[in-house]
Amino acid sequence: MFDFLGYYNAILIHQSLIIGLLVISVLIAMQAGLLNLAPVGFMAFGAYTSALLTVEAGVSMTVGALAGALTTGLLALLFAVPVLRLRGIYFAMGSLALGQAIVVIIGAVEFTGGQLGLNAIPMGVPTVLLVVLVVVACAALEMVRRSYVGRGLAAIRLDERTAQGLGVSAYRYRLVAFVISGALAGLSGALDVHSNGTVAPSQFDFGLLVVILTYVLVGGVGHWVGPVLVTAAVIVLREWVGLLGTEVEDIVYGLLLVVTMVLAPQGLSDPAMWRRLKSKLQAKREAKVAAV
Amino acid sequence: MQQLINGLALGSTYVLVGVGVTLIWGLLRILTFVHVQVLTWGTFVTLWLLRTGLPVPLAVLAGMLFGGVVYIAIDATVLRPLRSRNAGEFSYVIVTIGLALVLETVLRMLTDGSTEAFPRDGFPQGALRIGSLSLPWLHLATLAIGLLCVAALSLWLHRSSFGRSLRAVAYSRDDAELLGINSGAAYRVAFFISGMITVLAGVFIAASTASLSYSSASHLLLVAVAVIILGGMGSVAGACAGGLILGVVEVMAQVHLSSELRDAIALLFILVVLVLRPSGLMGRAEASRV
Repeated sequence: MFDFLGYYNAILIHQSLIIGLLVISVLIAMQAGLLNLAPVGFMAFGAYTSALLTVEAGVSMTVGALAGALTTGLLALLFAVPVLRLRGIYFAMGSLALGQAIVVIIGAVEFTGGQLGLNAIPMGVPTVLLVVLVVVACAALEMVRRSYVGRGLAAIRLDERTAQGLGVSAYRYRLVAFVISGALAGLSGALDVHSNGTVAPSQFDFGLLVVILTYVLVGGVGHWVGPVLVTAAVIVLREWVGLLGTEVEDIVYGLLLVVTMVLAPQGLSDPAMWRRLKSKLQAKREAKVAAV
Repeated sequence: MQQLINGLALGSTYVLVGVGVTLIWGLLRILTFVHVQVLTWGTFVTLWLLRTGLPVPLAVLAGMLFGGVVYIAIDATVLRPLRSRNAGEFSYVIVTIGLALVLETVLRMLTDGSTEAFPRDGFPQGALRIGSLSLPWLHLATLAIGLLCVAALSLWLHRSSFGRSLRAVAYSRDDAELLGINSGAAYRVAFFISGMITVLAGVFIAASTASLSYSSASHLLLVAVAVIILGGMGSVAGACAGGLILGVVEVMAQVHLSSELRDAIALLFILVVLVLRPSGLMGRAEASRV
């Protein structure tokens, strides 16, 4: 289906879609006001689960990937039930620890191949499948956003206390959002491992977390369109500019994140920011007219 | 017994890291994930100055001042705009994660990613021998300085007028402002002191491992999180206890379990403490959500 783009571009799109799934995973948690700093660890968990199941137990890739998603969701559930009692910032720190712990332990134990990782894993994930998954995920996000649940989530984000008072169970919403977020990250890991055929702990590093956070927050957490568009735009841009994989790229991502958080804390898709900008421009124009 | 001493030695460096962090993370409740990068930059400045032939105390002091100034600069350029907007707690985490990546990458480019030897000349050398036990002077010095910092900081926070005003700002910035406290100055002093202690920790860690690279301290971020959570947010004494406990447990795990799993200990500590006693050993009750 994507043959006309050429081999290189096809791979690029394939990888971008997997990253897109990860972005959506973080976004889902953020819809409930949770900062999930474990997506990279969850991705690793799903990737290794599926890889080990297909290589050692000989199950099919479909079963492996589904098992990867399910077990990662289960892990997220086990973590979230006790830790969700805490204030949000503790949850964020705990999720960071969880994500790092997964990667460190994978690199330390024997049956995962240690630091060398695994290879000769069955391959073959059609890009069409990824497109469908991303589209379905976006559609689901939009449907949830417009539903009762979506308004409940928005209320939790705005003012948790008031939302609780109005009968929105923040705990339950957050639990479900985090488990789905974990399962999706696990799925993206499984899809990644069956696209590359190899997996090693070193690919799940801190830089990837920063990249994902940049996409989500520069795009804005209010609406899923922002992060999805920003992910696509940045991936296209960095191809054109030729920054791929250089140190400058890391600096650009870091700076982009800092500047966005300082100037447009709700991300670029925040309508309030554009309104402010518009009114400022208008005021300037009117001042000019008045001066004339 | 020797392992216990080795653990305490490792723990004493963690105490220094934890004390530097607790002022910002615990007391002011600003999670700065850029902390480790301040530490590494300051330690590199010390290393570069040592290479020019500057005596150790002067080079360390200069590195510490550098760390303090860098932290003030970070506060003034990036964190203050967030503060003035009353931004959520997450914003600080995210903004400093971005900044950390930038600072680390710039340092990697400056040093070509190489691991440098950190000279031990001028630092305490040799070891005190008691029977079959050996206590390296460097570790004793680290422990002494760590405890000194803990004591001084505790006294300063609770007994001096500036320390009290800092705690007032931490409690409620608006109320403190109304009472005539310059909150901006309080933040700057806190960041400055934290930066200085942090670089001190970095120098001692680099001296004990005799090496330094742009990423050699990257595991300290999670160590810091573990120490703070274990000891309790904002408690200087808790940071001290948490650091020592973590150090001992890590060394014990390395000896009795496996050296690879050592890195996971801090992380498991965080998770266990969060589940069992989120307020930490010496913190205030914290489990109140909503």
